[in-house]
Formats: sequence, C-alpha cells, structure tokens
Amino acid sequence: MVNLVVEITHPPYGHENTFAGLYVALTSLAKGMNVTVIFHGDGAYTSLRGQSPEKKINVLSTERQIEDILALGGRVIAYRDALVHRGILKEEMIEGIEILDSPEIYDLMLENTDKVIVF
Amino acid sequence: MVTDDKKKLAIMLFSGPYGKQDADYMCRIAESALNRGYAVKIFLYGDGVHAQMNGQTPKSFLNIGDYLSELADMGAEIKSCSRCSGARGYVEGEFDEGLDRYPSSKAIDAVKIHTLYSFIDMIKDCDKIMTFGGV
Repeated sequence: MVNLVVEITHPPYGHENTFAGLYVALTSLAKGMNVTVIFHGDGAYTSLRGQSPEKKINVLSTERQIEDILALGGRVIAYRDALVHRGILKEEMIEGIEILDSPEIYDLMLENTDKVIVF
Repeated sequence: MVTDDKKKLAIMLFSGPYGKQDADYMCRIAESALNRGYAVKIFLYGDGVHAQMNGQTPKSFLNIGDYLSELADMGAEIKSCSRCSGARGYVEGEFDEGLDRYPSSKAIDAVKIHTLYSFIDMIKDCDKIMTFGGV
C-alpha cells in the first residue's frame, strides 16, 4: 500500500493550498492509501480548533476536512517547532492532531513514506 | 508509447502559466524526463488548470499551452482537475465517457479535464512524484 504524506505549508484561508491539499488527502484515503498530513510552517495555523469560515467568508472549513481525514483513518501531525514559534497551544488544537518533534517527522518521512506532495 | 517497464513520473502543477516560473520549469523537466524514457503524467490542479487555456499568446514568455501540446505529442498524459476547472469556467457540461473528459471549448485538446481521482491514480502508480507551485 502506498504511504503518502501531504505537507501543508500555508495557513488555512487566503490561499487555496490548504483546502486543495486536504482534498487530495481525503481523496487518497478514499482510494485506499495510507495518508499522513503534516502541518509545517504557517500550515500550523490549520490545526486551530473552532474555525468558522462559513459564517464570515463563505468557504468550506478546513477543520471539517481534518475531522473527515481523521475519521477515515488518516494521520494528522503538526511540527512542534511550528506550533511553538506561533504560540499555538495543544489545548487550542483540533482533537486528534498529533504533535511531533522534527526527528520523529524525519523518521516518518525517510523510513515510512513513499511519496510526498507539498502544498 | 508507454510501456510497463518505463519509470513513471507524476507531476502536479498548482500555479498558473505565467505569474510564476513553475509552469515553464515543469514543462522543461517533463520534456527532459520524456527524452530520458520516463512515462510522464501531468496533473493541473488549482490555478494550474489555467495552463490548459486555449489561445495563449504570451509576448515575452514561452507559450505554456503550446508546450503542453508538444509534451502530449511526445507521449505525456495530461489531465486537469474538474472541480478546479469548473470553478474557473472551463467545464461546459457533464463528463463525456466516450471522450473520457469533461467538455470544454476553452481548454486545449492535449489536456483532459478529469476528476481528482485520476490524480490519485497517478500518485499510486508512479515511481516518482514532483510538485510545482504548491509552495
């Protein structure tokens, strides 16, 4: 089975990247792949709980996408450093997102990943 | 002709044809890969679907539409996201099973407007994947 990493480097709104990347992750899960989403850099903002873009800017919530990815068995990870740099606390994050240190993510990327797509 | 023994390269283009250099770079890499015997599959996603627009006439840049057509003639399989294409006004009807694409008079023949599932198939089947314009 293909082990796919979808790396998100943009914040959730203002660019299409995050929505598009999570959509690829969801579709890949539906096609039977092992999928891990990793929030890197400003992508860390996507891990915040309580997003409500539908009310203000009328776009789909990336929080809903993350919940769907987790429900389908996908893994969602945020770089600890990216969270710390931006002052994002664990209690502010969507439940189910794992926080990993860089060496653990390097292990994942180098030992347990076949393909990487960056958004 | 694509045969099973060829190495398979999948490419995603996420940015438009001229605002950044990604499309130009992507086409050159794809051409080089084809010349080296790779089977090349390209997926246009997000603003990358604008690379499929008919009638591009850039004055100072390489014509990306023409380049994609040349790559297709060389054997590349090129598809674009139907959802992204629909959002940007390219899709003009329901999926045509016979033509294996969504109809569009605005897109070049070399590019088939298709579902995102076709990109997922490219990811699953390829030996290598490269992304352009995603960051």
